[in-house]
Parts: sequence; C-alpha cells; structure tokens
Amino acid sequence: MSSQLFARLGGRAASGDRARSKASWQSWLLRSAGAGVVAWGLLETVVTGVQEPATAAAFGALVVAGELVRITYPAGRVQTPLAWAGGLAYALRCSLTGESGSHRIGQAVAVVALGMAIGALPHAVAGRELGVDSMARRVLGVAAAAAIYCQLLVAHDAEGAWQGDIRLEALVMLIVVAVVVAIDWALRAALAFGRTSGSLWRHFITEVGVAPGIDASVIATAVTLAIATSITGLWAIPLFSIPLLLTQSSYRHFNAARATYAQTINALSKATELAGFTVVGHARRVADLAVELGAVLGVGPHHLTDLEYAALLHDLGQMTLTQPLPGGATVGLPPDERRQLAAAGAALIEEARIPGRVAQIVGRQAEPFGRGPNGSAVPLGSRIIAVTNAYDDLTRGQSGVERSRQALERIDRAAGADFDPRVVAALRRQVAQAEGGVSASSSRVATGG
Amino acid sequence: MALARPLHAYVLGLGLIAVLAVGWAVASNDSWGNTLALGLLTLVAGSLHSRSRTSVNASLAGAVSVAAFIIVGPPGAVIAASFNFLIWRRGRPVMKRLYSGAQPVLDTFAAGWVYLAAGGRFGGESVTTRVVVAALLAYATLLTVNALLLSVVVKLDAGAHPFEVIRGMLAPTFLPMMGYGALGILLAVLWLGGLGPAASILMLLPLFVARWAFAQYEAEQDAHKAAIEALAKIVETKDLYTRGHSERVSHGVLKMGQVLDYATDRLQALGYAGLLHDVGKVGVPISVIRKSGALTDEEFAEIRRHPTRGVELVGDISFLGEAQRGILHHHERFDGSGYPSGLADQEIPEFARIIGVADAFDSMTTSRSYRAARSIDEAEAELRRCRGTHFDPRMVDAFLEGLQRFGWQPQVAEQFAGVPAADTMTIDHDDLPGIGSVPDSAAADPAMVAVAGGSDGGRPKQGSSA
Repeated sequence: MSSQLFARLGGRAASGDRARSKASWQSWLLRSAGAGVVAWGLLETVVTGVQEPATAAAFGALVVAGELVRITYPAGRVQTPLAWAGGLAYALRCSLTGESGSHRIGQAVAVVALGMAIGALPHAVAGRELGVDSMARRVLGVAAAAAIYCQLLVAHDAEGAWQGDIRLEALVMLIVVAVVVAIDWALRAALAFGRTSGSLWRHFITEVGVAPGIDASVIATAVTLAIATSITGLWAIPLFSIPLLLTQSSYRHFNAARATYAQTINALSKATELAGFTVVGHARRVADLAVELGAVLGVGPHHLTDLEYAALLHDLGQMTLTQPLPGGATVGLPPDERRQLAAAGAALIEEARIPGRVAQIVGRQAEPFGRGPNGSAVPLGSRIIAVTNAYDDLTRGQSGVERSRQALERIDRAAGADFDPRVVAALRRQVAQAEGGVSASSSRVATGG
Repeated sequence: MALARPLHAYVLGLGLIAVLAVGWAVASNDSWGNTLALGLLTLVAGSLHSRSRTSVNASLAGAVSVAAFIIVGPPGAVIAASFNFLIWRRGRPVMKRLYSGAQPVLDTFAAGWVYLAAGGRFGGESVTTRVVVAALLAYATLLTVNALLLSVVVKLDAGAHPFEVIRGMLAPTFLPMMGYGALGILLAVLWLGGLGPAASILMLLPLFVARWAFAQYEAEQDAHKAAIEALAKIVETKDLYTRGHSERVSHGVLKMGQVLDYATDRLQALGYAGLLHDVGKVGVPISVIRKSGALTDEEFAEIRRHPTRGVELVGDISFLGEAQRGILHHHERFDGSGYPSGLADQEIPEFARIIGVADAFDSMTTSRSYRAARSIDEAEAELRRCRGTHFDPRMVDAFLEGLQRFGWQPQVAEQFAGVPAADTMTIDHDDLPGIGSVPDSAAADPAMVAVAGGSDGGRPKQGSSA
C-alpha cells in the first residue's frame, strides 16, 4: 500500500504500525526458519566435531570477506555474491572428500552462518543495513544445496555412475546450484509480494532481472571453487574468487554511477521549483505515484526508471515560460499550450542526452488518449504521467480524503477522452487501498492501539 | 584512415610472416581437439566487442593466450591466435583486418619461444610453479611485442615517436593485463585438471559479465556528464548573458587547476564547480535579471542569494563534494567583504577562490549591451590590481600563468545574436559594486552610476572607477 497516498489521505501511523510495517509475516517466517537451521547446524557440528578444520576455516574466511565487500544497490538492496558463492561451494564439497551424511550439512550451515555473523559485525557497528532476510535466505540456500547434492544425489550414486567423471560432477553441481539460486529468487519474490502490490509472478520476474549477470557469475564461481579446491587445494579459494571480485567491482561502479545519475536528474527536476515555476515537491510526488501505478500496470523494472525520470522532468518545459503558471499547474490549460510545454520539455531533455525513452514519454504526456497525431498509440508512461500529474495538481498536494475524492471525480469525467481508463482505474484502486488503511489507522489511533 | 604505401608494405610483410608462423605451427601441433577449442574461444572473445572505451576487450583474449601456452603449447597457441583472422566486424578495411589477424599470431609466436626458453611445459596434468613463471614471462613478452608492432603502425601512420607510444600504451594497462594473464593460468589449471573446454565457460562467464557491467558504467558516466552540462545550461533559458559564461569559467578553472597540479579527480570536481557556479541564478526572478535601470535593495538581495540557491539545487549530488563549497562561496572576497558569509583569506574554500578569479575575468572580457568587453590585457591588469584585496594572490598568479600557457577563448561576438535589444539593459550581477570593479566606461552611464550608488551595506566601494 502506498505510504505516500496513505499520508496524503490523512492517515497517521499508530505507534505499533511503524515496527510492523518493517517486516512482514513472511519475513519473520523466513528468519525463524533460518535461525532454526543455524541452531541445528551448530549443535550438530559441536556434537559430531568439526571435520577438516582447515577447509572449514578457509571457506569461513571467504564468507567473511564476501560479507565485508558487499554491493549496495540504489534502492537499498544489498547483495553479497562472494559470500553466497563461497557458501554454496562449501556445501558442494561433500562428495569430493568422500564424506556424506547429515553432519556435512550441519557443518556447512554452521560455517556459513558464523562467517556471515563475523562479516556483518563491522557493518552493524557502522550502523548500516544488516540484511537479515538475505542472510536467512542464504543459510537456507546453503542447507538446501548440501541436502540436495550430498544427501540425495551423492548418497544414491554408490556405483559412481557420474561421480568418477569430473565433467559430469561439474554438470550436476551446476544444476543443483542453479536450482538453489532459482529458489532464492522465488523467496525474494515472496518477500516482496508481502510488502508491496503486484502479482507473485511479476515480482519473480523483477527479482530475476535485478542482477542476472551477478547471479550467473555466482553459480559459475560456486562450481569453480568446489572443483578447483579439489585440484589445487585451499589456494584455489582466493585465486578462483578473482573473476567474481572483478564482476562485483564492475557492478559496484555501475551502481554508484546510477545513483549519482539519479541525484542529478533530481537536481534538474528541482530547477523548475527553484525558479518558481512549479510547486515544491510536486515532481517528486508525481514520480512516486507514477512508479507505483507503473508497477501495478505491468511496466518492466528497466522502464520504471525511465518512467520515474520522465515524471520528475515532466514540467521541465515550463522553464521556457516567461511567467509562471498559477500553482504551476498545467491541468487547467488549453490542450495546445500543454502540448507546446510538453514538446519544449522533450527538447530540453533530448539536448541533455538523457538516455532511454524519457524524452518521448515527456513529449507526449499532453496528448489525449486514443487519438495519436499519426495514429500511433500514446506510450503508457505518458498516459500514467498525465493522470498522476492531474491528480497532484487537483489535490494541490494537500491531504484529505474529500479533496482526493473530488480530484478523482474530475479525472473520471475526462477518462476515455483525455485519460486512459485503465490508468484511472488503477489510481482509484490505489487510493481505495490507501483509504482503507487510513480508516483502519484512525480507528487504531482512536482506540489507543 | 588512408594508408600510405610504407604502411601497406609493413602490414603485408607482417601478414606474410604470420602465415609462415601458422604453417610452422600446423606442422608442429599435436593436440588438435584442445587447439580448436581454444581457437573457438579466441574467436568468441574477440567477437564480443563491447562499446567500452578502455581496452577491456583485449584482456579476455590475453587470458585465452596464456591458457593456450599451458594447455597446448606454442604451436597450438599460434593456431588459436590465427582465429583472429576470422573475426568479422562490419565495414573494416582489408588492411585493418589483415593487421588485426597477423599481429596476435606474431605476438604469440614470439611469446611462445620465451615460454619454452623459460622451461614451460604443456599438456601435462598439473601446473607447476615453473610453468606459472614461464607463462607470465611469455605473456609479458606478448604484451611488449604487441606494443612494438603497434608503435610501428602509429609511426608510419601518424609520425608519433615509437617509444612514446609504447610507454603510453603499456604503462597504464600493463598491470591489469598481467592480472588477466594470471587468470589464464587459472583457466589452464581447471582445463588440465579434468574439465577440459568446459572450464572456459565457468571461468570466463564472470569476466564477460564484468566487462558488460563496466561498459554500462561507462555509458552511465557519459550520460551523467551530459546531465550535469544540461543542468548548467538550464540557467541559460532565462538569462541569456550566461550563455557560454559557465563553460568559459569551467575551462578557466580547469587551466588553473592544471597549473596548481591537481589530481585528476579533483580537477574533474573543479571543472564541475566552474560549470555549475551560477546555477543558482535559476532562482532569481526574470524581472530582476532583465530589469532596466537601478535595482532596489530587495532585488540586490535576491541576486546575492544565488550562491546559496545554487547549493540548494546541487546539494544532493554527493560526488560534487568540494565543488558545492566552491559554488556557495564563489562571491566571497579575499578581504572579507564578499557574500554570503563574509569569509576572508584562507577561510574561503580553495575552489571558491579559484572560481572567483576566473568568474571576474570572464565577466570583464565579455560585452554587455551597456558596455563593451575589455581586452585581455586590461582584464589582466585589473586582476593584478585586486590581488590581495578582492582575490587570493596565489590564485591570481595561477590564473595568469594558465593564461600564458593555454590562452583564453573569449566570448564569440555572434553569441550575442539572441540578446534582447538595447532598451532592456541586462545588468550582470558580476558587475554589481562591491563585487567586482565597476568598469570605467560605465562611470559615465547614469544608470550605472545609480546602481553604483545603490546600497552596498555601507561597505566601501572597492575598485570603483579610477
């Protein structure tokens, strides 16, 4: 449910809401499962003793290192590819040492858990996001990999049908790790599903698309580490991690550049505010709402960024005006003028060489739905921005359920002619959801809950 | 590039020797299966050219070459390298294709001899320390021969000195390339350890991904640079005088930064500070910017808010860091009578002291509707006069030295084609009293006198018309 709409409609968070909104029940379920597995693993290892302590220490150190050099994505998401690959590799090693049996899994889990805990300490001290959900997922993933590979496959292959040939072993390992990574995607999707709207399938696709390159590299590196350590011993661990480190480093640069770019686009969007043409916060509100509607209406993750930037910059054309519009609102202007402003904005965006379809989306935001000039359909992004812009202009960013209802009525009247009915319907649903949350919260506050 | 005859002869000669080398290799080769696999790998590595600016492309090919020495030995490595002939890139002239095929063959051929001389073995089950050392030496040879051959091309084509070319090519990339060579050794370990060609998928996949991500990073950087420039230009939609001003100030501060021996990162930040120093003028109402006649106290105050406004606008762009302080304080004066904070001397951030000089110089050397541009010499003299009072002496010296070394591109006359007619006098804030010296010619102008007489907070008018 949109926190922006929630706040806009006058919803106030009761004291308990804050904490609850942080972690959904799915998240708690996951964490409990993870904690349970870790406890069992530690117990197991303590009872049956540590096998091959040198190897355990080496892989443990790898996991620690992986936690230390984690990647942070613009949306606050955190990944630790090296720790993930290291943990999976350790889980896969059971057949190569001839060991099989439940303690293997337990030890794998214990070593990985300890490594993650130690590696996360500096981050905790520095006050950074710990990513407990991610740790829980990884512990479960390592347990699953060890269980599938060692218990199921190796143990049932006493004749050595595929174990003798290292290439076949590698293939089997590859498949197992790929399956575990896919399960991880599903878990991530399930967690996101608990937090925001959208179908489970769409969330799954989003999770796959976050960093498929890194995920593929993790799979490859896990198998590589598992096999290489059997060929050259423990020296393989630092050496064969290098390609993944290079990949991580490149991604880190890439993410940093993306974050900086987003900041610059934000600054560009603030220029009209500073110049007195638009209301402060209007662009940000329109962008947040547009991205929400976009996600619900099936806009893919990459195009969502285009949509966000387009929404932030949709009023850029007003820089060419000599007099600011009242309230910076374009919703009351005659269509020709609105189209002119949109075109001016698109021209500025093209001059700024902003990649993607941002200029196109901005340029066509004022076109009436259903009647493109040369018959071509108005892009979905433009249609979304038209609706969200109108909604914000009409509610003037002020809160209140009544105000919102009036705005929606006005928009409804123009649906089909100016606005896409599908987008308007989606907006109505989002507002209704937020309203439901508002009335629930106000009753909670009233009863002092 | 139009190839001259000596260059033609050179490339053809190389091609001939390459063919001979391949012939020898075919005769001496044993393990054809692995050789062909490595050749295919070379082909793939070379065909996936990314749009990256840096030579990340060559790095993968390097890894494959080193692996080839260890797996199939010099003959096989040469044959694998010959697969470069098969790489197809649209629109390439024949000579270039010949060269790009011949060069790797010859590199590998030379390196192969070094490999054997250093005691390198191949095809065995294990990779010994001796093999590792031999492989690294061979790879270093390969890189050097590569640079040598290329330097001859550059000499024949552009006349550059070979030694300079070698240094320029080898020095920055040698260590990273050697790193990739080391990865080739790891590939060989996996290959010989039993995985065979499948090892290449496992080892090289992360490298391909890394290369892709790096190309994305560079694309993002380019886009970002364009966005910052757009931010600077946005001011120009309202205030036509600023057209070109921000760019010239940016060039000016960059020259000063070079004189002051700034590191590349800091230089880049300085350039951005110069480009964005006036971006806060977006917040000044058009009525004030385009006002003809005297400005009221309120309007003065409005204009003087632009440094603070500027930082408001770009404050969230974290990488700008020091540049933000430069933007905020670029109108401070060395003697403490500037704005917004009245900082003096070394309290003023370094970037701000630098921008102040370049900013004043450019405003003096550009024309307005109410006064002509001053000559570069006049402006220089003015800077010298205000050394220590208005400007930091060290920065003035740096600017003057930069002027000598690099010259100055003044505003082009045609740029003013779009300026409104003379009846609307656009008074530039850099000309306001207490900020810069009031130009001589303006002393006779009644409007300018009115402005000069306008409120200045009661501070003594520095640098008023002599």
